[in-house]
Amino acid sequence: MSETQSAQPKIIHTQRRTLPSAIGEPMVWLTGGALIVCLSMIVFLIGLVVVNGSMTFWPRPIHQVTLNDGEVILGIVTEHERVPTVVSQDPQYRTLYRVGNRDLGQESFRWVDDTSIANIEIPQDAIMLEREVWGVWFGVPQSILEVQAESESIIAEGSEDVLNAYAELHRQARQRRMEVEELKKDALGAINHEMEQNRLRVRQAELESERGDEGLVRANGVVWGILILLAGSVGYVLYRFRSYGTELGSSKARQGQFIRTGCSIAIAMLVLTIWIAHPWGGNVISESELESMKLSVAQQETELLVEYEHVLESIDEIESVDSQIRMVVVEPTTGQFAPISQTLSDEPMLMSQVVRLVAANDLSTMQKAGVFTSRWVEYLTTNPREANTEGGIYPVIVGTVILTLLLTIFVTPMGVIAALYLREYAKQGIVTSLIRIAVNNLAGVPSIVYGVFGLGFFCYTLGAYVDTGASESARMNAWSWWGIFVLTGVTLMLGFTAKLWSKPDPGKAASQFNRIMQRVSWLVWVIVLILVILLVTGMPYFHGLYEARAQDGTPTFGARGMLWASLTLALLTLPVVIVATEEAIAAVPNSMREGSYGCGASKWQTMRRIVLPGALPGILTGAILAMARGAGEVAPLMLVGAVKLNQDLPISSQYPYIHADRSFMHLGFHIFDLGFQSPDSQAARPLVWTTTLLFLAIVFGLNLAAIRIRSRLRARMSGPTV
Amino acid sequence: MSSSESKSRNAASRRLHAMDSAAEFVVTTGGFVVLAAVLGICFYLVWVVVPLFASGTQENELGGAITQESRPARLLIDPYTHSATVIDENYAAQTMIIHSGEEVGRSELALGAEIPSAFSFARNGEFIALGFQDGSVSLGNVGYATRVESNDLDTDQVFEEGMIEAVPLGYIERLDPERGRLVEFEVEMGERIALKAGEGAIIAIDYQKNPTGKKFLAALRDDGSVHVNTIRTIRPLGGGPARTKLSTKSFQLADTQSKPDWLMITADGNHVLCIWENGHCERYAEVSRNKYALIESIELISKGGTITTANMLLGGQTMLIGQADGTLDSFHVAKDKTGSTTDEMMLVRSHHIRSKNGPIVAITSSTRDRSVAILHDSGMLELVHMTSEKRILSVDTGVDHPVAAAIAPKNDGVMVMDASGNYSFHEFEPGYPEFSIGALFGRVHYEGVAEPEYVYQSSSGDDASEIKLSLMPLIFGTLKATVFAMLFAIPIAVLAAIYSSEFVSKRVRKKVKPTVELMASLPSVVLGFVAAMVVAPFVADHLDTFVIGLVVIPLVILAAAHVWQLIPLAYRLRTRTGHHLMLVGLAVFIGLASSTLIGPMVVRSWFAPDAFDAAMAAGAVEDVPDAELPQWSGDASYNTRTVRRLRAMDMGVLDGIVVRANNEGDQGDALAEIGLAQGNLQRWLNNEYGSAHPGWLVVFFPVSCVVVWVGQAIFIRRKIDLLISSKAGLTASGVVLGKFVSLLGLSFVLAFICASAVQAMGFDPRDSIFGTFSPRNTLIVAIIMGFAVIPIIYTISEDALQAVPMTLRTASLGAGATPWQTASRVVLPVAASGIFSACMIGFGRAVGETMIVLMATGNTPEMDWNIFSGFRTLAANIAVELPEAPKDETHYRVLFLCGLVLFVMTFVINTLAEVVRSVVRARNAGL
Repeated sequence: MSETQSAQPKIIHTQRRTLPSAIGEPMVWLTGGALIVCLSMIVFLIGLVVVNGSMTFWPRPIHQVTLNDGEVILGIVTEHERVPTVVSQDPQYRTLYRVGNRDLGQESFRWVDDTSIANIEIPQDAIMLEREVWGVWFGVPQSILEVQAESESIIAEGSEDVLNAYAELHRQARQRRMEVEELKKDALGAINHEMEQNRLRVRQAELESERGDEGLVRANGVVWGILILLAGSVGYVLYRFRSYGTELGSSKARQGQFIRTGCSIAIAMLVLTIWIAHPWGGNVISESELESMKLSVAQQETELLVEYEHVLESIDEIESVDSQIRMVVVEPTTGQFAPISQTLSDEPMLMSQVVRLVAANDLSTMQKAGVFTSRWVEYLTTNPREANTEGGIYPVIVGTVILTLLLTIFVTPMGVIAALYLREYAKQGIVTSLIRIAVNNLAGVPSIVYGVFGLGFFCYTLGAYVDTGASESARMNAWSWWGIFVLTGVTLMLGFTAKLWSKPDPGKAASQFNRIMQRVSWLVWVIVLILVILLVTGMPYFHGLYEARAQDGTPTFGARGMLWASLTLALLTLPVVIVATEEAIAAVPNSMREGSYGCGASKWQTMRRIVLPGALPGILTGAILAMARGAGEVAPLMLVGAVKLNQDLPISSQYPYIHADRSFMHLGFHIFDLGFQSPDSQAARPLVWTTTLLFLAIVFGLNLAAIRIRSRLRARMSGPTV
Repeated sequence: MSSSESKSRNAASRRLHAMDSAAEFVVTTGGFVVLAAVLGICFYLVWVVVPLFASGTQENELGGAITQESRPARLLIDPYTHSATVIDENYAAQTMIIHSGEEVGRSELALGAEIPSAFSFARNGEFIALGFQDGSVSLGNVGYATRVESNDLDTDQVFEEGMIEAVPLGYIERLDPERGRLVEFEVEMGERIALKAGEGAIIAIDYQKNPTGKKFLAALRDDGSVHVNTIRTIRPLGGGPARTKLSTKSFQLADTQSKPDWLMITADGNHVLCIWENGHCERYAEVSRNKYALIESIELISKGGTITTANMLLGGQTMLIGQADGTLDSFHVAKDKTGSTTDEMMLVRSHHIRSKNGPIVAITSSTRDRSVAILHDSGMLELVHMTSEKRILSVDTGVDHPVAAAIAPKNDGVMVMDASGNYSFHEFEPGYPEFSIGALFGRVHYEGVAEPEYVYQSSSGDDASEIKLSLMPLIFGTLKATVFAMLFAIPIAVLAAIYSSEFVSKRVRKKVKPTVELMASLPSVVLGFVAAMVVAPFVADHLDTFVIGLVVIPLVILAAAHVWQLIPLAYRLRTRTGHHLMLVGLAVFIGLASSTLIGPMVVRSWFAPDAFDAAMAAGAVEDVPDAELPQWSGDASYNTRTVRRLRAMDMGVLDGIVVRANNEGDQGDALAEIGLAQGNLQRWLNNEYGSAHPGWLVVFFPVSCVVVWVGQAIFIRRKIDLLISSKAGLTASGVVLGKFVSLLGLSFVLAFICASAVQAMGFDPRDSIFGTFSPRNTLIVAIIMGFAVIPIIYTISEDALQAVPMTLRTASLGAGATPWQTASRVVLPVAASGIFSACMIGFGRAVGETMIVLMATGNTPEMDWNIFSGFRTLAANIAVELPEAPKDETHYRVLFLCGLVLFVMTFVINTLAEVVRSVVRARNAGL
């Protein structure tokens, strides 16, 4: 609509005046008001998140509050509000101070009525310590000590001196700390991991030897040889007929295809048979093998234990150096200094326990900006501490990113293939339009339903299958399984035959027979699908990839994890990709397809060279929209894999590097968890806002990208070329 | 070389051909599988849910006979269902192996020669009481002791899994060659304790334990006295045997001559029930300290019927009555609202189960859940779950005239026996007994309440309490959230779409639309967080502003438009759309500011406590003389409606007496003391004070605005239009402004009158759409859900409006219509169905929204329309409970059913929207 029709009705020059009711000004205003409300809602929300989220890390001054009863509090103002319970004429206000010093046994946040405050000062020497454990400590720095075995020497004394000496000493202390962490995590972690792997290997071998040869149908050598010969000869036939009837428009085309398909199916089945029913011992383990295995594992274990001790020693060494440097920061009222731990309250804390020292009242704006940046860096790159209320969200970001990437990797090919099939290969008719409506509707099915499905099907059914193979009740006996196996091969062949005859002879119109064959082939495909599902679910030879662990009661894939979460989200976002891709494919002009066919290109060539490249921007938009939707979903993740805390990343340097079975942390779930299930919600509040800001930025960034690509694509499509 | 050329071309064509068929194969199979997988979601949900509907399945069946000296009274089965014990009427227990019928031992319950005169047996022998002729009792228990022992097999025996070897009083089941599980029947009876009060033999006895472990014993003696004993077990500090002490409270039966056939005590120890064979039942309860009295006396069954057996359900609160005509009734004590009994409780019938299988001879309740086995004289055994009334199993046992039945402790077998010792044992798989369609969608009479109701409470404290699985509160909560959210979202979204499609320049629209679309991608967890952390406290603090704002802002916008009309048309037309929008924004701002200002004022004056509240606070009330009482007020039992009607006349009821204010005392101070010097909307909502009138005013004002507006459109608009058509612009606009103001006044008056009328009828809005205020409530969800739904409705509606062909607009404008006329009479009707489908899609989204409702409501499954209370939706319920539900149990499957219901709901709604859209698209193709 252009501007002329919108609000400039210059057509109202008649004899009679235009009535106010015809212009409908009030109604127009009402509609405008709705739009304003709409827009202000989003501005309000985004503003709220941005303001609250970005200011979290800006250092704020430390107040020294003297109460009427003489008590002195050191803290940071967090909130100021009207006292809700007091109902009187003039409102009373109260202030929430973050007072930290939790090891003294006090609450780390404290409401103070404004009427009870006698005096507020901003002392220059007050500092805030961010510590590894027990939250923040407010106090005045007194000294830095070096504690030897017997003696104690003072390195620095007095507020100024301490701050000067702090920088260098702290850097060293943190370095030592990092070394210890690394040793603990990498060296000890690797040893533990290896020991666990050994134990599982033995357990697996035990399980297999217990099971023995029971229930297996093994071909003896002669049969096996015949099978190989058979496969070879069928392969030879396939080779001989490789070019039979492949000339364009050949009348022998159907025979050729029949022979080739038949041979391919036969070879595939024979190879499968040879693989499953090979006559040698296979994975049956004899008693003696088991014993020798146990022996070697035991030997390895002793070696590992020695190594373990070794690592522990080197950790001790570093820690003993570390424990020499102490820092005394005194709380002014009680005179109590920050202790090493709550139980050892008469020992000053280690330098390395300090994460950051903020002398908040003595900072220039530039220094404040420095603290602000370093807090952001810490937030983005470190692990959470103190039940997620402090430290960083590195594993959360990694979890979110990997989840989103995995889901895109799953959803894009699936969606593109489905769309390509629907738009280019399937016959357009009632069935396809029904499927299209169904796919559209699935986009509107609540995400939690996908979560329910994911938990039930992926985690508990598919995952359990991967872990331990078919369930006892579904497992068939060997003979009926082989029967169905052969039946499947025959049905598959029947399906192909029917499919071949469903196409009319070259140059002829489709006959009734062809149409019947079309239906038959559909029916047979469905039967084949069912048979394959039966074969897989009833497979007697497969006992799972992680049987030993599952026997211990720790399922690997049979529980919530990254793989299942990303597959669930892939299903959830599949309609988005299908719809977007279909639109993009439909937008490729038919003239281009016809031109391609006219030049002699085959169907697949046309698809690959003309249609898919033309639709690429649309596919990309779909993929990004799917990413955005997937990244923003939380409800299904609560069911299929997101957890409060798991610092084991889904990617690590340990084999197999990508741990798709691990549960993970996720930004959206982190917000929910921190905001609603945190033990200290007051302390968590600022971080939730920051996390929210980050989350919004990611989701909005993805969406904006999609919108940009789409608008560019539209501009190009409606441009002069078409 | 032509031959090699043709050869290579041949090879190329072959490769092409192979590629082509491979691609076709991959795309077809892949596409087919992907689509099948997507559609498979529904099938999988159904597949998980379907087993819920199946009844139990019977598996194995064993029969046999043992020699029996006297009639069996009770049967017990051990937890592994290999052995059983019969307690006969001589109080001897005979243990046997079920599959072989081999008798492995006999034990006596009553020590010494004396035969007990009364016997009570509860929870499969966990609580046994024997009463004797001399008025003493003996308490104890029988049961099976199980332990795994390592003892090697005899050398000549070959190990078989599950091999059973009989030992005295039990058996050993082989687990492997070295170990066996020993199961032994044990009797542990305490010493005889003489009851101190009453005389004569004990003729009936009942022994129960409440969930906290307190034990109660009720005994009836020959002289018609009943003794209720609390049992304490004292373990001496220095060791030695534990002693049992009874503290007894006694009372006499109302009619000491006729002795009841059954005596029961509820597990809480509060009620003693005496039941006669003809259906007469008397309930005694403690009315004051140590004093019991007959509370009520009712007929349990219809005249002519005969009670054949009576028992207690698991938990000891529900009494089961079996009759000669085969019906089973259950009764429990519940709060009595009518106040007809002195302890305000009454015995109510909770379930009624009919059967055509002849007289009931025994009722055995399971110790695992609320299932009971009903044994009929014809040999039919029915297994029924009492809460869901689901018939789990119906077995023809093949035993004629059986006398005793038992359910295995793990609910996996039943056994019946006749008087001569013929028995049959049936293994079964109970399936999902708690689940039935009735329990899911109908009202169910749960234990302890007076009436059937809808309750969802999936987890229970102990095994004796019921799991309540009604989905109705959840479906109701889902609809409540959705309806309120849509009430908020649809007007805003659709109006905004109309404005940005019809009254805005292309330039502005290009900025506005992506902004709103961006809003659609807001993750719901962020919305939920903001709702709970910012909006909920804000609304709780500024509720008055908020409620008033919903009315004031639209009114201010309308008023501003009328003022704007005073400016000559020529100037108005020169305003650019962006500026126009800003003006509207200014109006919205003024509306917001004024509602902030007047909100508290209005609340202070309207919702302020009135004279009666003040008088009540000061205690300055006097009785109203009877002569001044209205006719309808009736007697002293004032029901709520009467009280409300009195309240409308400034009278109230205090302790059953009608009172009114007298002008004594300093009432203002009294109000200030309770913090009510001014009105407080929250406290008004919590029904602490105030009359219904202001609430009705708030309800009726918008309604009467609409009514008045419609009325003027029908009756007077034409006349006024004719009147002003010849006047100058300013005059005309002035008249219209005057009309607006007077209509507003009229609406207010109308609302006031309606409110007074409805109040006088004794209705209060605090019963329905208003009510107790909880900080996380429907209002907040409605607003925040608006964030999620508005952009969707807006975008699709805007697309629908834009899809209306340009030619229609140009034609309309060319014919002399104004843009408003064009928009409302030409564009809107054409796009209406598109807008409808937009609303449906928005509805679908709101139905399934999880995180917002999870975070912004209290998630309590309530059922009321109160806009200030919480609720629990299907989606939130799944999110809360599924992570903890054990796989394949009833609860897990019911949650899958929730998912299926959600799936179906949204699928139907979306399909409806899709169909409407495609039909309209086809129709509009001709435009």
